[in-house]
Amino acid sequence: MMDNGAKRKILLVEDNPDDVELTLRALKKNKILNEVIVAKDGVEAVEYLFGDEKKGKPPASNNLTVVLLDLKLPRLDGMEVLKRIRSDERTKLMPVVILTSSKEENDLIASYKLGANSYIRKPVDFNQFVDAVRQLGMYWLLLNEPPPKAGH
Amino acid sequence: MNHPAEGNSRLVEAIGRLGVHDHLCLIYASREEQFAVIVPFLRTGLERGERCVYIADDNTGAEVLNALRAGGIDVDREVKTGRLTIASKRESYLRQGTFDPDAMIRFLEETSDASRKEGFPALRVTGEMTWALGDEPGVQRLIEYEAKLNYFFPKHSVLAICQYNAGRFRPEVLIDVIRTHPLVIYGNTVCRNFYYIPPDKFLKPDSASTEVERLLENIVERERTEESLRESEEKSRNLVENASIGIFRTKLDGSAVLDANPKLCEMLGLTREEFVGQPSAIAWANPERRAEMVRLLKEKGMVSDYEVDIRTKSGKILTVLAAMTTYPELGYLEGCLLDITERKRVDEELRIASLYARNLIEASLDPLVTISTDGKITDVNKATEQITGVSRDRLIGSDFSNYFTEPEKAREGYLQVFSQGIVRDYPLTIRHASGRTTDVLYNASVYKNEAGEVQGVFAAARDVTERKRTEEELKKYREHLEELVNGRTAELSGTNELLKQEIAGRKKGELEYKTILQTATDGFWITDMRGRFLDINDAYCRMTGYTRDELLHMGIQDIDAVERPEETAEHIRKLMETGFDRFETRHRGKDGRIIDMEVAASFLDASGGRLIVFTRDITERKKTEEAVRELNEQLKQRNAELEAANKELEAFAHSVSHDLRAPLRTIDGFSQVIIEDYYDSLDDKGRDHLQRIRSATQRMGLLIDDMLKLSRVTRADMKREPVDLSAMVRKISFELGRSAPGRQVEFQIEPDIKVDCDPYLIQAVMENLLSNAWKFTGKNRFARIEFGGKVVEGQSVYYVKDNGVGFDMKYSDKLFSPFHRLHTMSEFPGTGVGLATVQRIVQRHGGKVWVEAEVDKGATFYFTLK
Repeated sequence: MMDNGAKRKILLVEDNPDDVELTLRALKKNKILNEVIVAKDGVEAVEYLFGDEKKGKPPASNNLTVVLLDLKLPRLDGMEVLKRIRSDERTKLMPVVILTSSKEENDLIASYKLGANSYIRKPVDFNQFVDAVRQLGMYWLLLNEPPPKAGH
Repeated sequence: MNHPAEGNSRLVEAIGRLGVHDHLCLIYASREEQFAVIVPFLRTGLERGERCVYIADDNTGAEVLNALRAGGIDVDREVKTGRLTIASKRESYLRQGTFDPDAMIRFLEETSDASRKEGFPALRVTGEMTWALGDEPGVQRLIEYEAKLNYFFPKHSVLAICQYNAGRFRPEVLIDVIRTHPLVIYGNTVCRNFYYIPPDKFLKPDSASTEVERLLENIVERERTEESLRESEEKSRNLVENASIGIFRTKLDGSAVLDANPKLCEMLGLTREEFVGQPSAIAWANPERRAEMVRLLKEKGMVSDYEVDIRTKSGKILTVLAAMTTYPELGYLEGCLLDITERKRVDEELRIASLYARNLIEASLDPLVTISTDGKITDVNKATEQITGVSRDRLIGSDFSNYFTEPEKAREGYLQVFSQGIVRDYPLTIRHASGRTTDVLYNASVYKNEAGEVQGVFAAARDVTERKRTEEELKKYREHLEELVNGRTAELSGTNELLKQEIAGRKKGELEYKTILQTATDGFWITDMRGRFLDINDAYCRMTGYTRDELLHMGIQDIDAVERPEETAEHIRKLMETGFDRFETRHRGKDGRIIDMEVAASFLDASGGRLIVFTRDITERKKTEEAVRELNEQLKQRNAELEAANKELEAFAHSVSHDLRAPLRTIDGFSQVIIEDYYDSLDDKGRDHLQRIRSATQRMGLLIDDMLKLSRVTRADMKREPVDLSAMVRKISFELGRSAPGRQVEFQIEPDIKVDCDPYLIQAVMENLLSNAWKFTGKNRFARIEFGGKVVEGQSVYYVKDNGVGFDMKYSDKLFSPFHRLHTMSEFPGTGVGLATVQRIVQRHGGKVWVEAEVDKGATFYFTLK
């Protein structure tokens, strides 16, 4: 077991509060105990990741183990966030899982092109959703070897 | 031959000049004198083949013979042959012992006749007349006889010398002798006797007055003679003086030049004074020639035509012909020199020219001959020798006609030349000595001397064997040609007949064409190269509203509303080059309206150039084209609109799928949360309600997905490629099997079914059909799903067959409409969109989908793809 993956946080970028709720519940159900940081739009996500000097927030990307990113976001949409994540040295290697309800092939291709590590469609059926989350957790948090912390 | 006794060559010459009818008397004083005359007299006669008779009396016969022998006469032979006879007076003058002048003359006549009969040309008599000194009766009639002889001699071929010994005859007799002989020989000189009295006069009785007459006549005659002699001498002198030959006289010993004429002086380049009186000053250029000349002079007493060179005072060499005579008794030498320098030069030139000509003649390949007036060959060239095979020597002098296959024809030929002066292309055949013949053509003409007298014929032959052969061949060809021509003429007349028929047919055809053109609906014109109408059909008149007459006065420029006249002219010119053009233009009708025309024009190179033009009214067509163009525009616009609409739809569908699902997730999710978290607070009914909510929500999600799919299917671009349907079905069947591993389903998949279609869309079709089959065999223990393809009426039909629950075909008409279901949700879940999707996709492929089913027996879905 990697201690890094277990100790680090998860960033969930999701604008729908219901979905946030359900995702957290799913995570809990699967006994994933990592702290989940929620950004409700692209801007917040970016601020969290890269910090905001005005607001006195330092970048927190170092502490993340995975980003769960929805695509349809107000202000700054998911693709943009992904772009930024991938274009910043600090977060370039950060695992990003697109978690979206879009089945559009364009979104799928675009996401991968921009460097998403994974693309998951959110099912309507909650049970399926819980199952999906379980699998997510199992993989990303336990099985997967995260990249080393940036700056090392 | 000179004889010592005959030193006098002049005398001998004179004697040599005597001929028949001459009656001479010789009055001599000595034997020498006598024989000096008589010997040459007889010798000459014998040489001439005359009968010679010598009546000897004064001498004996033997003495005469000796003298004659000494004079070089072969007396014995002559006497033996009877040519020479020595007779006595008894045998001649005094035959019966008497002398009768008439009888003697008769005797002479007989002798003369006899001689003639024996073939002698003449009788030459000489007699020693001393017989008349005898006392025989009649001797006194001697003179009478001599006189009468002068009647005789002119009529007979006789000549005679009567010899009178001057020592023995009395002068009175001699006087009469002289009077009766036209010629006298005395003093070694033969003289004409002007004392001669013709017999008429002499024999007349009264002769005194006659004598006076005669004497006076003689005196006058003598004077005249002397005068004429003087004149003649003067003439001679003049001749000599003015002669164009140099004449001179020198002393025989060459010690002095006695006389020379001006020409000689001129030739020598000396003055008369320088020359005459001097020792002979003719400078002979060649000592050898001079010596020869001298020798000849000594030997013969003369030279003639002696070519020799002299040197003039200036040193120039002249070539002369010298003629000289010596007069030893006179002591001088007379000569003349003819300057032939020029002549020699000319001769040389002539010689060279002649040589050249000769060479030409010899070199000529054509046989050349000259023929004399009597048909004898006088000269030939080498070619003649060759063609006749006869040598030059034998040819010359032979008859020209001898060498031809038709001598008569040859003779006629040259006679023709003589009469007409010329003959051309006279055909003859020459025979070679070997027998070989050569065909020739003769060209001949006469040649004349300076006097214009025909000397002979000059003839040239041209070998025409070759030519003849060619002519033969030509004749053959000509005959052959004639045959061909005849044959051809026959052919042609046959063709002619056909042509006539064709023309008749054509004429009919022409009429038909005219009718067609007139009734055609397209306009037709013929124009000239200036575009003026020569002919128009009715259709065009109708099209434009002009009458035929009006149009015949118009041209293209008047009718074309687009081209300017110069453009029309240019267009016509281009037509001449390309031959054909098709183009659109607009014509202006009589009422001014514009007619769109399609024009097809051809250029006809005949009658100075014609344009054959068809015109078609394309106004309607143009309208249609315009409409089509508009429609196209519209279509494009609509397309654009549709595309835009499509794009909107896509965006819409995208957002729908996303946005619609989120709330569904919430509903479902939180429902579950309630069930889980508030399990205890809920009773079964409450749990059931929530479950229903959840199901409905989930279903809605599925519906949304399916609808999205359907719309995507309609929108998506279709790409056809070969797809292995069998493999696709196999894969889907695995997936289905994995999704519900507990189920026992037998798949029967026909292999290697390949189809050209859109793989993505067909995947949807197969997924739908197979998952349906899977679904509706859910209740079977032994489910079987089949996939295959068969050919029905030439088309490939594919099917998915299941042995599931099937359905009643009665209700199947709306099966493929979206949302329409034949089973309840509780029986078989489903949105009812699937088949609509299938149908849409199949339709997009240009195919059809239909179903055959039976309740509880299963269903078979068939589809075709284009």
